Parts: sequence; structure tokens; C-alpha cells
Amino acid sequence: MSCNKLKKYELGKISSAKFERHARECAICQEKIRQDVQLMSMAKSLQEEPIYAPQLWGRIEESLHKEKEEEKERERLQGEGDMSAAGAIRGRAFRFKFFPLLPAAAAILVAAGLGIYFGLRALSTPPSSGLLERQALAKIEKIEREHMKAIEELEKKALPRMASLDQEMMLLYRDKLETINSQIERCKEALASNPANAHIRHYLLAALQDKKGTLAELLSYKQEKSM
Amino acid sequence: MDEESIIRQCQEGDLLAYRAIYERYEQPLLRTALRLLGQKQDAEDAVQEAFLKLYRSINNFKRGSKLSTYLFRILLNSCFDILRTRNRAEFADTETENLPYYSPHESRFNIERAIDELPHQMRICFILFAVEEFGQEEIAQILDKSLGTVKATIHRAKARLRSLLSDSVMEVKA
Repeated sequence: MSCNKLKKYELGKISSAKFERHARECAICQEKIRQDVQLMSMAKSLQEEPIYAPQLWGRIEESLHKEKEEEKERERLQGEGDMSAAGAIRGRAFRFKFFPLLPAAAAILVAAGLGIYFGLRALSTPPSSGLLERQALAKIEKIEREHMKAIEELEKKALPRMASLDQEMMLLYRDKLETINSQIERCKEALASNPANAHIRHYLLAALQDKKGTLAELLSYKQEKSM
Repeated sequence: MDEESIIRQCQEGDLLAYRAIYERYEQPLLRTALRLLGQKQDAEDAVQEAFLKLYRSINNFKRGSKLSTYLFRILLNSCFDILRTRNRAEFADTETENLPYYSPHESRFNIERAIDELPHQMRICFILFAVEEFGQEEIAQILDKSLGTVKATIHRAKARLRSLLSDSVMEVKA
């Protein structure tokens, strides 16, 4: 013998008043309720035994202090305009934890940032060296266009996925992409007045590759949401 | 200190406010993580990671939200990360085929064993509902699921546990 009224009640398909009236007459439901009460009481009893973790707060406090220090350093770097290094600190824990290939990407990013800094400084002086031959420049521009086209395609697929990530992941990816975009823009601005500067071309390429990699990574990132 | 003040202090970077949160939620967090991960060291790692994530995301905490809901959501994500790293088969949420034997004399041991036998999501829902006493709507928010899904999952978990325990502790009398 079976009765599905308790199930209907628990799923919200019948009201508590209706179920109560039914349960007064139904021995099966009465037994299930008795078992439920016992089950919930047993489950609650699990609260009674404390878990002893005397070192845990110390570890947490240490990691929070460390994070706070990194945050200060990041703010300092941002204040000085070195966005890529700041971005590298911001996402460091996330990258190393979730994506084993990210240290390499981070290295490219930091190198690109530092490179841009020095590259842009070099712009203030006439480009006596590093000028590309016309033919080489055309080749590089072609590669850049290919990267940009690939990035456009990836963006179409990857950016909508960002909305489905949990908030922290979404913010980390957004920060990283913003940092890379800012680098790309700075390179483009610098190249507008000096298109043949090999250094800046090199940094632009690194930034484009990094963006492509980040978008691909975002696409392959799977969040556990299955019930 | 009320929760809103604690959160405001956390947002100002006051680490003592995090300590207040820790003292309030240490046991529920550790208990839940331990039930999901099975090992104390992993449970401690998950709680530590949860606090670090809380610190990083505290400015995104919406006013009017419940801290417990937010914190448990972060904790579960940390537990998922650890499980993912471990690549444990149980994370696939497979149905349990072979039910173990439970001694009828040790009810706490029995209920712990029985909970551990539940598929992953059933276990999470039941722990949050029955052990940590979250409301079903809060659980839906923590797990980012619909209320209907949570209700159905808890119902299935209870039915499964009743069945697991009926031959031992409960000994249903006809």
C-alpha cells in the first residue's frame, strides 16, 4: 500500500490544511511523518558534536592579511599606471588555482605591460632603430588582422557565457579582459603615429594572443551546476 | 554586532569583522564542508578558501541579502573546486546502487553513513535543510536552483534516507 499525499504536500501541490486533514485518517502518512520527525531529529543531532579546528582562524587570518597586502600593492601599481602588473596580482590566485596554463599567459601579460611601458617611453625619441621593412610590416598587419578576426569570433561566443559564470569568476575574467583591451588600445594609439615601431607591434601581438587565449579559456570553462 | 554592521566593516577592510563572521559560522561551515568532502583537512581548506573569496567579493554583497546564504554559496563553490581537483567519481551525482549495512544501535553513526550514501546534490540539499536548518528558498538561492527543484530534491533525499534507515534505527512497526 502506498500514499503520495505527503509527496504532494512536500512539493507544494496541496495545502498544509488539506494534508493535515488527510493525515489524520491515513496510517501510511502518519507513519511517514513519524519517520520524518525522527529523521530530522537525528540530522539535527549532527550539530551537537563540534569540529575542533584550532589552527584554522590563524590560517584564514594569514591569507586575508596576504590578500590585503596584495590589494595595497595592486592599488599602488594602478596609481602608477602599470595596469598589467596590477591585473596580474588581482587574478593570480584564481589563475594558478583553476588554470594550469595561466602562469604562462600571465607572464606574457606582464611582459607585454612592461614592454608597453618601455615601448611608449621609446616613442618620445625618434625611432632610429626597430623600423620594419614595408613588406615585413604588411605581413605583421596581416597576422594582427587574423588575430583580431579570431578574437571577434571568440568574443561572440565567449562574452555571453560570462553572464552564466558565478559572480567572482565573471569579475575576474572581466578584469583580465579589460586589462588586455586597455593594452591593445594603448598599442594601437602608439602605432597610429608610428606604425613601423617593431617593439610596439610585438607587444600588440602578445596582447592579442593573450586575449585570444583568455576568450578560449572562458569558453572551455565549465561551471558545475548540475542538480 | 548586527550583520549589516559586520558587513560594512568587512567592506572597509577590517579583518576583525571577518573574525566575527568566522566565529558565527565556523561550525556550520566546517560541518557542511566535512559532510561533502569527507576529510577534515579538505573541509578546513574549503572554509579558508571561502573566507578568501568572501574577502575578494565582499563589495559585491548586495544589501538586504543574507550573509549566511552568500557565505554558504561561496563555501559550496570551494568544495566543488576541491572535489573537481580530486576528480572524485561521486561528483558525477550517480545513484548509489549498493546500500551498506547500518548498526541499529548507533543512530548518529547511522544517519551520518546514510547521508554519505546520498547522491551529491541530494546530500547538499538535505544537509542544508535538515542539519543546518536553512529554509528551502534559501537553499534555492545558495544552489542557484528553482524552489521546485530544491523541494523535489529534499523530498527524494528524505525518502531515500527513510528507506536506508527503516531497517535499522527506525524499525517501523506495522
